[in-house]
Amino acid sequence: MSLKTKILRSFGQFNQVTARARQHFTSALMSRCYTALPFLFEGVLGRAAPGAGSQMVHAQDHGRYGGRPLPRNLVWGGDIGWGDVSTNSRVAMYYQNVTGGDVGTWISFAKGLSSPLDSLPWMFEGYVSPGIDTATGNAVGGSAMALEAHLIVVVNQPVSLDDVDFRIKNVTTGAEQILSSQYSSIQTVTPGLSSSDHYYDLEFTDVPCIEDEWNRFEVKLNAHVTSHAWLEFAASAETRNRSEPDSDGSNQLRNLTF
Amino acid sequence: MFVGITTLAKELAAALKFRDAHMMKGIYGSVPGLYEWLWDQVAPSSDPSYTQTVKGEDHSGYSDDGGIPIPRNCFISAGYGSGDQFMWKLTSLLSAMGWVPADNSYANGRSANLNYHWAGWVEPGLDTATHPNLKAEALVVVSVQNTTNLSLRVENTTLSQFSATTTLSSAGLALDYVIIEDIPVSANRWNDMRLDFSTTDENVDVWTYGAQFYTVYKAGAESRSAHTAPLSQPPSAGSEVA
Repeated sequence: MSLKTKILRSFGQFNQVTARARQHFTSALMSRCYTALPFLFEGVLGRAAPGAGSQMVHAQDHGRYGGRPLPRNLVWGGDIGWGDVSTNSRVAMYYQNVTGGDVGTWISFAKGLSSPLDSLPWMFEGYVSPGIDTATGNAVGGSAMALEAHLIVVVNQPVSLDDVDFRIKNVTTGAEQILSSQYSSIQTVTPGLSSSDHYYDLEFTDVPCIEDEWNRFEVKLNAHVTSHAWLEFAASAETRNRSEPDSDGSNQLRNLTF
Repeated sequence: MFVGITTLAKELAAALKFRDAHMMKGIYGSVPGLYEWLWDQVAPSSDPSYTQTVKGEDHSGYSDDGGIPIPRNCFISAGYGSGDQFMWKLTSLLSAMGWVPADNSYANGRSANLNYHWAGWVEPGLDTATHPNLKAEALVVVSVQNTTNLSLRVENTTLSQFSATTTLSSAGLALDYVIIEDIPVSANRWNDMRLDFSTTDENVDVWTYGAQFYTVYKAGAESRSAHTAPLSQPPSAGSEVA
């Protein structure tokens, strides 16, 4: 009989027994309650139950065996598809023609947008769940909690060929005070070979985030030569590997016996 | 509710003490309460008249109204909105072409370069390989011309596996929402998805305006209790479904 079966059958028994005044009840019944209540608390919240000296249930994997009540997945996402294949008329979420003084410097994909978009200080905004915070805790495996992101970009370099760097910045108000770094790691593409359009699938695993509020993000690029760059697809998600707070518990729920 | 747990823990720590019915009543109130707070459904009981009393909906914060700990997920959301623009355009689709990607008309389209259109992260536990009744659904918006027959499917190119086929068969197909079912998914990773079309007619044009992908529970091999299965609910190993 599985652990979960035992627990849920115990719940059924609880409701079949009526507590009446001045009636005795058995210690077996109390034992079931006593094991079930801390399990429920720790299984959900991932921390020691009130009154408990230490956390017994290891609450991490809420896909199947319990865990924190965090809705993990898409934080923000968007896509423009694609448009005409000719350079400069391609439809994109964001487009940059990196020339002159912008070459070799970090600029926002949204730089130079015309009104009213130029008044927006961010490109994407998404709500991050409570408990998922880069500044306050570590994820499973020990690294700082963060979001993962997925971008599809197109790069065309008409003159010469060189690297283009991409990274994501958390520009939430106050982020510079809350986060030790507002930036994800850098993903570099090297078009090479030809001046045609090159597609790139970029994955970021360390996008800084602030828990329980709307987070604002900006995608930045640093082209080392004159480049056209299009952002076609973007998604960011809370993931188990990078967004699940590490637990203080010492046991996997699936391995416990009561 | 949790104040009750604190009281219980302290009281029970004192051995060889009598407990009264008031304490037991508190326990009874807490256990079904916690269950319903977690799963947002009536606690298991042999009494059919017992109804759900604890509301579990708000899944943000630790001390609010509670909430269901199951992620009900949209794992890809993409769309162009309205207007004369579109995400993908497929022109002159022929019956002899079989299944072709939504951007097949353009040699430099995304699927021609990356073999997929979108990527979405699927949570742990939602894996078609281990739980065949857990799959994804896509809601796409398409507009078509020159056909009375259009079929859609999604390939999970990460797995090289296909969804069920949805076929639209009516005169004058127009802009519409279409649900594609049974999309295989792989847990705890980014899943790459591609939208494909086919037709039995000739010279069909298809515009795709948007798509959303959700992980869903599909009733099937798993034995479940008689409640409405919500999105993204993994099967239970127990005799009663949480």
